[in-house]
This record gives sequence, structure tokens and C-alpha cells, in this order.
Amino acid sequence: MISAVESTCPPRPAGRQLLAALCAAFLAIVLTSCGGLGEKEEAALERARLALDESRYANALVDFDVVLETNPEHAPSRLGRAEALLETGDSSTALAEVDAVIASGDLDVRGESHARYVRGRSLIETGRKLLGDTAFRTRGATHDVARRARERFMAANVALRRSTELDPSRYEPVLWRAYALYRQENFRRALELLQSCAKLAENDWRHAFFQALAWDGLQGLNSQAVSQVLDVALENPRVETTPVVVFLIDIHDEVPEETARRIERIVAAFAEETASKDAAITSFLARAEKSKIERANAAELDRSIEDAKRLAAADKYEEALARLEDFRKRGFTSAELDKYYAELGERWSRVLEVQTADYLRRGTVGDLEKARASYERANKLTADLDRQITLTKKLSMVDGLLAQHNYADRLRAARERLDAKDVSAALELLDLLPEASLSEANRDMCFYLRGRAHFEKKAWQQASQAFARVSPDGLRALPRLELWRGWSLVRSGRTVEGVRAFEKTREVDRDDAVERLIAEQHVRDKRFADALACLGRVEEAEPADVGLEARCRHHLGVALFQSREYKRAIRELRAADELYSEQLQKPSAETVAFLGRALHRNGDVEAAREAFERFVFLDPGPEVERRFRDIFLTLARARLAARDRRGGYDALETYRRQGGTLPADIASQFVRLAATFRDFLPFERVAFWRYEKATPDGRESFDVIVRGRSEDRYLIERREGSVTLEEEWSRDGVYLVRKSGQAVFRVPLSLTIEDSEPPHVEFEKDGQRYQASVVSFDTVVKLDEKREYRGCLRVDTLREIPVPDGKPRTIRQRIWLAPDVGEVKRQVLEGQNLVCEVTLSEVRRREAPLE
Amino acid sequence: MTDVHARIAPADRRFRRTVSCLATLSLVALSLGCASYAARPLISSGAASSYLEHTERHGLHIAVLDLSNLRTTEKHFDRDLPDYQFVPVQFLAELDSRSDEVFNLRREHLHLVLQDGTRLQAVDPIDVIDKVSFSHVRSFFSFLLLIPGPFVTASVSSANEELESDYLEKSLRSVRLSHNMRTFQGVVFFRVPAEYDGRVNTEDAFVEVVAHREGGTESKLGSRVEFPVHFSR
Repeated sequence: MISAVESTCPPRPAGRQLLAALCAAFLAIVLTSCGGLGEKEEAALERARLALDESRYANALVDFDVVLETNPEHAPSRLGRAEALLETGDSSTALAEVDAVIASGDLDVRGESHARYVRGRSLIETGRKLLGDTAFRTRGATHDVARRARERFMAANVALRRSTELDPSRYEPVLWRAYALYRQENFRRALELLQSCAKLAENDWRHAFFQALAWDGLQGLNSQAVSQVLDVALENPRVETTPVVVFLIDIHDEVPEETARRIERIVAAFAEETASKDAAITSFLARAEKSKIERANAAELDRSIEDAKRLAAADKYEEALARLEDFRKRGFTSAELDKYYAELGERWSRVLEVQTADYLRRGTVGDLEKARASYERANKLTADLDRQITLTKKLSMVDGLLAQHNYADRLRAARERLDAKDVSAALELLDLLPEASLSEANRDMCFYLRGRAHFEKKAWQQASQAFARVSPDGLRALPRLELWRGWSLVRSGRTVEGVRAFEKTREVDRDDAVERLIAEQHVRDKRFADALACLGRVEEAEPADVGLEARCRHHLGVALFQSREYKRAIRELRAADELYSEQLQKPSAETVAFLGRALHRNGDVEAAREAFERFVFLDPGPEVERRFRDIFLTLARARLAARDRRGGYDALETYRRQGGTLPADIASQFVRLAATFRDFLPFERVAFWRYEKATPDGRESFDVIVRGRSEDRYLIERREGSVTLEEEWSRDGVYLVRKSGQAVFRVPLSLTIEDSEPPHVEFEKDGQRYQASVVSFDTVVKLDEKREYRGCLRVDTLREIPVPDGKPRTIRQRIWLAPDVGEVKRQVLEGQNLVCEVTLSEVRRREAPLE
Repeated sequence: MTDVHARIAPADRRFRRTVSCLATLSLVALSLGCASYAARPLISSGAASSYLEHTERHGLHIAVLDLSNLRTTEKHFDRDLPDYQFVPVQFLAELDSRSDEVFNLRREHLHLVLQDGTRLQAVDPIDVIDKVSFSHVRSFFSFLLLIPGPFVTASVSSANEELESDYLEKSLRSVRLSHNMRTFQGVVFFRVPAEYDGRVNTEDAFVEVVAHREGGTESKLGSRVEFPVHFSR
């Protein structure tokens, strides 16, 4: 490094000039003393000396070669040639050459001193070739290289020490020995020698520079060393101080900022002053320029970051980022820039994300597109992986929403087709929509429109299926959808489901038909109040509605009755009765029955009785009677209380007939009433009676046949064997008037209505006295195992036939009459002797009414 | 005093003179044959980093002190060791307090490199002790006089024991420097080759240190660290 500078840049410093003069003088002496050279060689030697002095080493080499060509052992020329070789950079050859010269022993003391110096320098240069100054300083070499280089410097030290010993007055050997020691890291010793250099050549800059190097090695880079080098560089802006400048370049990155700037200025001034083409300097200046630009950029960046922070504080993130983005586009990289850019981007990303929520809330296509752009920007701005994932999902969501808008347009078109009754086109459009990709709202609309289209095509089943796929949210959004669905279900035969769908509709959307259907279903579900509410909303009532309303009110009344809300029950039942009776002209016995019951329970006995009377009047039939038989008992009591015994008996009879059990308090009364009002000789219903007659003479049968009726008389034919008798029977109150030929008999057939003695009749005819009276009722007659008659009336007759010569002959008859059957048994007694017994063997009911 | 001499017979006087001569001779022999070891301990010079000329690599500070000059070597080793072809060097090692490195220093990896490039090998202190111990030959002559013989023999043995103990204590052993033991010092004896002519000149000489830097978490292999350390003053 240093030798190169020396070889290229005259003039030399004062010390070196002195040295060169001494060398030249020495060479002249040597050459003169050597003698033996021809003129040509002497001239060549002179030129070589001059060239060496003027640092024209190539020329010197040529001239030294001229001398050595004829005098190969000419020691001064060989030494000069070695020095020239050294200065031209061929230190290895120079070393070999100078070693040969030293070995020849042809040099005097001064010559040997110089030879040792050249050897030392040659060794130094070879060592520096192995390990350069910069690498040495930065310890950038392997141990092996460092050791080999160190060995060179050790040898150089020995050579230079010898040179100094031979000629202590010389500056160069001491200087370079100090350098050799410096390269052996013997900094203290190097400093000691350099201090002695100052005594030899005070103004020479090199020992000052080497001192700085030694101080750097001993103590590390310090201000004293740097300052010393800076001074050297400033005071000696010449080519030979290039190593100083290179050293400054080496330490540039290690010194404080201010010193670094100073170094840059010095290097720049040096390059300008010396027009140096040194690669290190050129490279450094380029780097310095670049660094300057970078610093300028950094300063601008700092300002920009400050501006960006200000803008960000004012929520002007886009401007702030644009300010920073400008730097990034210019390829400017900075950790701070990147950090703040990322931080700002992150903040803006979050702000964008928050702002986008408003766009989404509005939800128009334009807003969604803005939202998408915002999310995209936010996604690019954030470096947070979690947020990127979140934002990507949101982007997908917005894309989905935008796609749904597209689908919504197609749905709108389908709807327009449908409204224009172009059902097929609407269905085609709907079939093209991908159901899986549709949003829930669009999917609901799709199914709704598809259902509508099928409905229009009267494809009830498909329509109902399409409507059924609409989600609950869709149903809420499309309130009339359930109407369509309901009708499609009803028309496809699934009435119950249809009505269920109708029930979900709003009342304002329902028409009369829907209300009727709902009401009917309510009735089926026994939700009569709801049904009535539905019917109440029917605007144009039909007869069926009246019937339905009557049913509803009836059932509602019944329900209220059962829940003991009698007043309300009365109101509903009465309304139902009115509807049945007046509007429908078809009274309902059941309604009346419940009305009566409700009235009765409510304490309105008279009204209850009226209702019960109506119930009975309406003749509801056995089934209803059985269900409401208690009414008959109640009515019977009422009637009996009103002294309507007949009515009371009828009611009780119905009550009993329908399975009712009479209470004890009325059972005895009923027996008497039965005996009073029952028909013990039912001419109207019996065709004939057949009896068995048992006498001591044997048994025989006879028939009593009802042949007809004439006004209030019944024609009875008595057929006994071959004898046929005709009689006229009629009723006279409680008596049977039997007219047989001219004879008329009267027999009581029941009790009287009044609570008096049993009926009794006495009369005389043809001198015979007759008596007939009811002696008992509610008796039981058992004819055989199978035939037993209850509630029978027993009537006894007495006939007294006068006997001229004695006590009159009395014939008694005991007759048992069964209700609704007639005579079932008769005993004839003469005196106390039973002379004949007649029993009913057969009774045949009349099939046709009696004429 | 004169009266006393006057009372002694001539024969007695001769006997006395003989005894006196023998005693004098014995004392002379005893004084010449007796051996003693007297060396001062090494100066505790502080840590290596306290020396200006110390060398530092990777947090390992090394300083060396030349103990080969006559005054120093006799003071600390009771011998002119260079005269025995040994160069004693005080070796100080210190691991920087901020360093987490671990270094292995082995005595045989230390060399004293002289200015002419000659590399002197560090030797085992036992070799030095063997070379510089007192010889028992001197006691042989003492036994001729009978009385001083055992005393001389005993003194030689005692002095050698002291010497050995002191040398071993002062010498450097191979050492592992880590945060557990950050400083260490000892004397390294470098053997001067037999062919080396004249007294060793330690001017511009340095100790070439080879240390093994153990691998840490980053580099498992470790590395070899080699550097010169010049003598501090």
C-alpha cells in the first residue's frame, strides 16, 4: 500500500528527499569505488540512479540491467535493481536479489545497511501481500495466514534492526522496523521506535501515521489516534498519503457520526486535490455519496414520518401512507420506515375495517363494492395473520353478498315474469339459480317464487313443497307466503296442514274462505273461541257460516258450562239456540238441553224448565235422551211440583227408559203415577192376546183380538174354540167399558189422577151386583220362568148372583194387568175355590196402526 | 585470660588446637555443603486486562511478563534459570466479565517466539525442577568429616522439597477459563534449545498463544484462537 504510493507520487517529503539524496550519494560512492565499469555502464548506472531518485523505477531497472549485463556481480547495481523491483511491487524477486547481494559480501557497511533495509522492506511487502493492512486491523485472516505474515514481519524486524545497527542515523529502517513490530502486534515497542523516528525526521508524516496505527492497535480506536491521522491527511493531501486516507476509510464506520462526516470531507478533498484513482477511495466516495443521499433521504423520511404521524392523528391515513409509500417506491428501505409504515398500515387497516361496517349495514350494491374495496385495502395493509384471515373471510362474505345481489336481480326478473303470468319463463329463471350459493333471503325468495309458479300451474303438490322449503325467517319476511302455501296444501288434500299454514298468516291477509277454513279447523280442534273470532272476521257470511257459528257457540257454551261459567255459557248457548232455531230453522235439542242445564245451575229454574220443556218438545231421540236423561228427572220434578202429574210421569218414564234410576224420594210416587198413567190395555199396539185357561175340566186357550176401532170404541173379537164373540170395548176415564151383547161391564184400569182412593165401581145389572176395584199396583206376576211382568195392576171383581134359596152365589175374579201388555193373568174363584185360571200365553204386537 | 592459657599443658594445647581445627573445618564444610531454597512469591500483578500491552481476543485477555532477567529470576526462583536454558514467563489470563465464552488453555500450546523466529516450547515444571534441584554430591564430602554429613544431606533434601513445591505452585497448569473461573496466572518455562548459542534475548520476542474456544449455543464445534502476546512491562 505504502510502497505503491511512494512509487507513483513524487515529490517526496523532506525526509525522503534527504534519504534519496543520501542513497544517490551512496550509490555514486559505491559505483565510483567499484571502478571497472565502462563508459556505457557508468552512464547507465548514472541514469539508473537518477531514475531511482525520481521514482522512475522501470527506467531504473532497464539501466541497472544494462550495467549488470556486462558486470553481473556488480553489487551496487544488483542492490539498486532489488530496490527498483521492490518499488515496482515485485517484492519476492527483490528479496531474492537483495539476499544474494548480502550473501556476496561485496557491500561496505553503509551498503549493507541499505541492503538490510531493502531486505526488511521486501519482507514487509511480502508479508503485507499475505495479509493486508485492513485485514490485519480487522483480524480478517486465518491463523495460518496470520502466522506466516507474522513470520515475514519478524524477519523484517531482524533485517531492519541490523540495518539500523549498521547505520543508526537513517530514518527509513527505524520507521519500517516500527511498522514491522506494529504488524507483530508489538505496539508498545513500535511506539518506542516511532518516537525515535521523530528525532530523525521531525517533519515526516509517516511516523505520525504509524504512531496512530500503533495506538489504535494498543488501545483500540481512540480520538487521539484518529485526530493524529486526520491531521496527517489534512496537512499532506498528496498521493503518498493515500494509505492515510485508506486508513481513514477503514475506520470510517467505527468513528462517531461527526468524525465520519469529517473523514468523508477529507477523502473527497483528497481525491479532488490528487485526482486519485485509488479503488478504495473511489469506492468509498461512491459509498459516501450514496450514504449522503441515504442520509438526506433519511432526513426527508424523518420529516415525512412526522408528517405522516400528524396526518394519521387527523385520521388522514391515506395521505399519510401515500407520503411513506413514495419512499418505498423509490426503493428506499429503512427499518423505521418499514416499522412505521406497517404500524400505520395496521392502524388504517383497523380503521377501514370499522368503517366498512357502515357500508355493510347499508347493504346496497354500491356500498358493498365500497366495503369490498375497503376490506381489500385493509387486508393488504395488515401484517397480522389473524386479521388477514378475518379480513379474507369478510371479503368472501362481501363477495357473497354481491353475488346475492346478482341473484336478487335474477329473482326480481323471475318475479316480474310471474306477475306477467309468464310462469314457464319464471320457472326457467328460477331453475338457473344455484340454490346452494344463495343467501338465505334469496333462497327463500327463490322457493317462494317457485311455489307461486307451481301454484299458478295448479301443481299444488310441488307448490306446497316449494313453499315448505322457505325458512322461518323467510316466512316472516314473506307474510302472504303462508296463504299460498295453505291453499296449495288445502288443494292438494292436506287440509289440516293447509289450515295450519293459514293460521300463521296475518289476519289482514286472510279472506273469508281462509277464515272459514281456519274456523272449521278450530272447531275440530275444539278451539271454539278462536273459531268464533275467525267467523267474526268473515265479511260476507254464508249459511254454512251460521251453522258453524252455531256449533261454535254451542260448544263454547258447553265448555263454559263444564267449567261452571254458567252465565257466559247461557249467553253462548242462547245465541247458539237462536242461530239454530231462527236462522237455520233447525233447533238443536242438545243446545237447548245445555241451555236448560246452565239455566238450572244458574238458579233460573223457570227458564230452565222452559228449556227442558223445549228439549222434550224437540224430541231429540233416544240417544240424546239417554245422554240428557237427568233433564227428564229434573223436568219431572218440576212438572210434579206444578202438579202436572202426567207430564211428570212422562218425564220420569222417559228417565227410567233411558236408564235412569229413580231417587228414593220419587220412586214411590212414580209407582203410583205409573199405575195411573200407564196403559194397561193397549188396544192400539196389540193385535191379539192368547190365553190359556185352566179349569178343573182341563185346559184350553182362547184369543182376544183387536179387530178395529170405531171412534173411541174398540172392536174386540173373542175366539174361544169354535165360539166367537164380538165385544165393544171403550174407555171411560180410568174404566174400561166392556159391552158384550147387551151387557155392559165397567172395570177400573188404572188409578185416578187425584190422590184419592183407588178406583172402585159397583153396579147392578139383571139383579146381579157387580163390584170392581183396583186392589193393588206395582205387583209382580210371574207366569213362568221366562215371563215376569212388573208394575202390574191388580183389579178384583165380585159378582153376586142371587140364589133364590139361599145365600147368593159369589164369583170373584182377580185380574192382573201388565202395563203396555194388558191382562196377563186372571183367577176366577167361586167362594174360596179357584175354579179357573187364565194366563197370557202370547201377545202379538200390532205392526200397522190400528184403523 | 592469660592466666588460663598459662595453666594449660603443651599437650593439651596441641589437642585443643587439633580439635579447634577440626571444628573449624567442620563448620566450613557444613557451611559449604548445606543447601537452602529462598524464593519470593510472584507479585500479584492484578488481572491481565490491567496491563496496557495485553492482547484480547473474544473476551480473553492475555498478558505476559518476562521473568528471565537475572535479578527477577533469582528473586522468584532462586536460580538463574536462563543459565539452565529455561526462560520463565509469567502468564496472566482473564476472561472478560461480560463474556460468556469458555476457553481452554493448555501449557503445551504456548510458545515463546524469539525475534529471529525461534519458537521455544513450554516445558513441564518437573523438568525444570529436576534440572535446577540441589545435588547430593556435596553431602559426600561432608560425610568425610563424619559430623556434618547428615546435616548436609538433610538440608539438601529439604531445600529440594521447598524448591519443587514452590516451582509447582508458581507454574502454569492447563486451565479452563469460564464464568466460574475468570482469571488465572502462572509461570511458563520455555526450554531454550541446546544448540542455541548464548543467552536468550527476549527483546521483540512474544508468546504465541493458542487457545481453544468452546462451542456455545450458536456454534457447537468451537474454534481455535491463535494470537501473539508481547511482554508487558
